[in-house]
Amino acid sequence: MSKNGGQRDGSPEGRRQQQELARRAKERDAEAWGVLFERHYRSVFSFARFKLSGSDEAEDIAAQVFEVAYRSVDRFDYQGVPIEAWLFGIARNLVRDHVRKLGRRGPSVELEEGSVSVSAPDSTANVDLQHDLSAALKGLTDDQQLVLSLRFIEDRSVADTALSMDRSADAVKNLQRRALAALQRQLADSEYGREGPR
Amino acid sequence: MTEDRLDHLLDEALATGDVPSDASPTEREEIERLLQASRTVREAKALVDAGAEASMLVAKARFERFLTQEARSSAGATDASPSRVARVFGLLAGGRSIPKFAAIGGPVAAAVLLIAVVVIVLQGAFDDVDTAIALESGDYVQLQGKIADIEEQGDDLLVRVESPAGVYSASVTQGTALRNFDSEILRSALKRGITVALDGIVSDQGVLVANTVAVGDFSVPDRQSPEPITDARDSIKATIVMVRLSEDGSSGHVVFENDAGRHFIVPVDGRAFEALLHRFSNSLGERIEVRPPSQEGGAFQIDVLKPSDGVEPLPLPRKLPPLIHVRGEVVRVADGFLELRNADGTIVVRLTPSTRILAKGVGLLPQDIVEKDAAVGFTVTVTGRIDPTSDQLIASVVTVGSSMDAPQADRPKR
Repeated sequence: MSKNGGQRDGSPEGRRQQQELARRAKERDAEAWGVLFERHYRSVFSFARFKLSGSDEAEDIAAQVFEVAYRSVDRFDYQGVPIEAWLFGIARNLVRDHVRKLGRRGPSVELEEGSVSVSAPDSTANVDLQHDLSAALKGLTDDQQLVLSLRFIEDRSVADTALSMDRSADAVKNLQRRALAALQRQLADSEYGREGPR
Repeated sequence: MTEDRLDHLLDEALATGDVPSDASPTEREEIERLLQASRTVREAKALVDAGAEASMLVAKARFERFLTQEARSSAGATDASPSRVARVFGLLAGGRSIPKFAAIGGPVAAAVLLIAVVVIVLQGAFDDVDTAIALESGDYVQLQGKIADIEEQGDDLLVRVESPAGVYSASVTQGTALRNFDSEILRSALKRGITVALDGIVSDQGVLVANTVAVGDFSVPDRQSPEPITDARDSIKATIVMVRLSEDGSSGHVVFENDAGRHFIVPVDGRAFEALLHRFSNSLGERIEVRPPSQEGGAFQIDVLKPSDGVEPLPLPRKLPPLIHVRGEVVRVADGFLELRNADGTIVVRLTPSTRILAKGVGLLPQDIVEKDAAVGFTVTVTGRIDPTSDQLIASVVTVGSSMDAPQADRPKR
């Protein structure tokens, strides 16, 4: 059972429940969508938040993910992909579009401002940390960002992360190492990395 | 140093926090670097979590509106009709969301976790012959009932609540949030046939500004006209059905059900409420002993019955969801504010002229609390609501207990 109370285990019963939920979601059963939202909003938000600099942007993207999912659920095949992995896929595309639009609008000042506003109530150190981490994460691939979000923000186990990402546990272990190594390199290039943790 | 081995060493190090002892110096150096990077991510966890929590409620509401619109535009889609959609988020009790009470700060947000601002408009219902208790402006009220009807009125919902003491109409406004036994829920959880408990204060305009509307699957006592009692010889063991406390906190009425299922209404004084509200966020459904007044025409006394009194706990169908309250020790009083401290941190409570302060049990007067530091060190229980413009907790009723009072656990969760 996940921390959100959702059934996310890979047991036969867990899979059966997921399958049943997916079936009801495909029928656009409002109750099933309520459960999906409750179960996956936080992780989708965290993923979006990792990829974007502002909390409001992440909220907007996370909300959109469920709207897009609802509208396109006919194309979803539970046999092929776990629900959460499908939602992450949608989130990935939405974020990409969002960033592209921002890029067309002009320089990325908006992203930087968003970063600071999220951390405003906290200490200056936190603001800087968030800023540097945010910048460093941009150098990671989507999957690397996702694995870091699931493992270290969501506190998911390797097995749980593997289920959510539709990968094997070994693949997740490998991905998390590569993600941390990439992050470490990015941080080392930044002021934060040079000065060490504050 | 193969990739597989590094993966394995890192995984073990992440699980234990230490680099495995069998790692070579080169491996150790690499793993320590990776651990440091993982710590950097974890340091951001609080920020991301706070963002997720703060945005959850808004995002839920947005998704709910989306589902409703989709259902409406989908002709003949009975499975996702608006009424069905409206039921959805009432079922989302598993998650915990903290509304954006940023101005109050984290401790208050945690302490009043589910506080919501709900405005209930009693549309002339208090004067309705169908109601048993004549409520007046400024009254603090706790009542329970079943929702008989819901009607959309612009951004608000007009809700008719059929309570054991009569039918009341209520308007749930844009600022409304609700709770169930465990967590907050959305207004769409309000639907015909469900049972609710609510509390609030009647305004000059006949509006009950409710502190909480709590939804739960409990059995509401039968509707019947309570029999007024002004005198009695013996004590009566009973269950509270409805309460009202006057604006000055000195008197009120309690409607109760005796063990034979008959309803009675008795006048009670502020002391009785003091005992009740200091103990329970929601007095409805609590087992009490009603004692006759010491003098003719006086107020009845109320003792809260406990399991140690040989009282059987209420069966589950009769348990009601809790109403919002905060408990803590007073650490400071200044300029109409009480500063409380409890396990969740420091909480600032705003007192207003309409705040009832019940402190006779500890020998204090309301002005002692407001104007002096007399309450410092005492444990208080505050029922109130959040002011959406200032995000402050505005106290409706403050009960003061002795500083040695251990805060009572609220009624158990189902």
